[in-house]
Amino acid sequence: MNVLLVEDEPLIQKSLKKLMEKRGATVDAVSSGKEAITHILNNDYDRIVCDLMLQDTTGFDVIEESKKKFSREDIARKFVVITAYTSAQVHDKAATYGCRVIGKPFEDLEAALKIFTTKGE
Amino acid sequence: MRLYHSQQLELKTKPSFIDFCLTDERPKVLGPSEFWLFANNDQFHIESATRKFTIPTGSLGRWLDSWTGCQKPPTTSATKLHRAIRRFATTIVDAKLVTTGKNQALTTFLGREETRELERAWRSPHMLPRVVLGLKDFSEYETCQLILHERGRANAESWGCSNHRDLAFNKTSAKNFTKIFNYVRKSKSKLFDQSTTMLEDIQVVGNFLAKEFSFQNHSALLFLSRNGFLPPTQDELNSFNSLCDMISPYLDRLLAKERAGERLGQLIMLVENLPLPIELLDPTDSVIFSNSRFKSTEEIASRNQSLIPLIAGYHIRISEDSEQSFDIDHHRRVSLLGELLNTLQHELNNPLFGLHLGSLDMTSDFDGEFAQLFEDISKNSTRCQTIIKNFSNLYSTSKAESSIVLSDFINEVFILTKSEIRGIGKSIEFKDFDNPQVFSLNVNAVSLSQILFNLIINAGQAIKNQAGHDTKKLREGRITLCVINKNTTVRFELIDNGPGLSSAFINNALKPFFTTKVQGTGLGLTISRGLLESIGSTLELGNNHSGSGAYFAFELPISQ
Repeated sequence: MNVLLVEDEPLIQKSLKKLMEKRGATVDAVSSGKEAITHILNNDYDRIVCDLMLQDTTGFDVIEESKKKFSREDIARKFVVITAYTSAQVHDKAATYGCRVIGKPFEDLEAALKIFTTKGE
Repeated sequence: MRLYHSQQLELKTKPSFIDFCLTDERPKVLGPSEFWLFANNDQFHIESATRKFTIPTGSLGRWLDSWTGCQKPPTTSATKLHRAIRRFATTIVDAKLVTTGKNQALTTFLGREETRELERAWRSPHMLPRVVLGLKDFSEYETCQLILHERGRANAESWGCSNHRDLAFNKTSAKNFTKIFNYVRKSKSKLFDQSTTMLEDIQVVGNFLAKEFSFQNHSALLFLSRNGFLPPTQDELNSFNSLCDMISPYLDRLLAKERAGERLGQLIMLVENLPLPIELLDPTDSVIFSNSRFKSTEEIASRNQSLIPLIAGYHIRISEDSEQSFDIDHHRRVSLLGELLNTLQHELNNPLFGLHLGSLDMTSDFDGEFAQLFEDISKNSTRCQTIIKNFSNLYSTSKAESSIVLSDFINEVFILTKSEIRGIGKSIEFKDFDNPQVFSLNVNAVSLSQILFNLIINAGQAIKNQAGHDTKKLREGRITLCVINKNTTVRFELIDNGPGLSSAFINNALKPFFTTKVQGTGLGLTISRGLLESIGSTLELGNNHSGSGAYFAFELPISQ
């Protein structure tokens, strides 16, 4: 199980990486959209957990860029958007890609981790 | 409002103010607020005593709704204003447009009787066709039509009369109107007949006479015909032209009046609903109008008044009371605070969430004391998030109700206030509850927690201030929250044994920014009161009858 974690808050990034690794996943963690795109194009991930508000760009831009490699179905299956701004617009936009949105802080940490570390269908 | 119609109307909701009458024929006389409706293809033709118009079938509901909106019975002072302005308008319009010379000419032309008759019968511009056909000199004509266009409108309106019967009201586009208007204006012979194809909007038959009018805000076209095919003679042409010259100022005046009337209605509604207290004074300084905001503002003494002079000695008085601007300041500060807290919440969320995740991760890596320590860090970072969220909710206007278990809820609120009332004795008493541990209440939990939070903190600070550095005295301090089941309501009483309230405090306590604390914002009680009002309750306050200290109380309904 290969997971890419895109999160720019260092403490959240490190902790989530460790928590996911404890659940048996192999995790690459990056903190910018640019790095994320390079990683996505060069590696194969089963799951991409992506923060929405990044320093250089947004999570949706990362999804848009990854269209070079992934089909629509791939995107819907692989991507999970995590964000502190769970507005209706965000949900609508995410729905156009068909991917899940999980609000930060997670209401149920265990459930969130389970989603992050299992392959999407 | 009464609607006459030949069939049962199909409406989703039938407004209660409408009285539907089934009738096959249009009633001869329509009173005010009575309408005759007849369906034609996809349209409803609607007639009242004064006007006719059409609306698409689908818009009937909306029309009825708008009708309720604007038919709100005007206040008596609105009626007074209406009359005063109408008097104005009429005077101005009269003075400007009607010169005695023209009147004289008309009398000479028509004779005294006829002129009087014309003035009497002709009260509204669209009655002109009937009036013209009623004149002795024009009794041989059969059809007369008037098309009116107000500048800037998309449509021109047409009224006609033929053989003493009113023709159906019509509308045509402004473009069509302009086309006909220019055609009539440019015609050298001034002889027209219906064979001219572009004149499809004209309802007169055969050869006819036509005249165009151009006024300040309107253009008009008048057509007159014998319904015959002989061209009009030069005599006829002359007398038609004279008539047109004579009636031109009348028509202008009536149009201006009608327009003023429409504007007037809009103006009155605007002034009535303006969120500023406004009075209108006539030249003798007596009030002829005051709007609803004026009447609802209570303290007259504290108002700063400014007078704005109008024409003819009339004045508008605007009263800005100091309370008002205070209120605006208050809103500004509260909304600023809300924004600040929102930003703070979003900015703190990420690091706090990281802290929570990180320490949770560590918990499983360590044993015993360390694991406990990390768990505490994790719990407390979550608590920080909750606190900041609660604070920003304080300024949100969410009206969501939820079911809360009262005893758990109150315990949580006391935990939130722990640091503020440290060292002071506190107790929670439930009275008349069968089983207070499971009693639940439907309420806006955010509001209720903020109200209790504010009251408890106030009581705590009052006791602390009185005690100063005397720890013994502080320990004697006591805050009691009594929750009393009164069957239909739950009464909350927060009682302390602090210094109690001064009478000045009791009078001013609920005003924004009134504070007795050195570092207070003066918003706590105002917000509490606002929150209570938003959930349908009021705040009582006073001094305890037995012993020292103050009490604050409010009741919340128990929904069944």
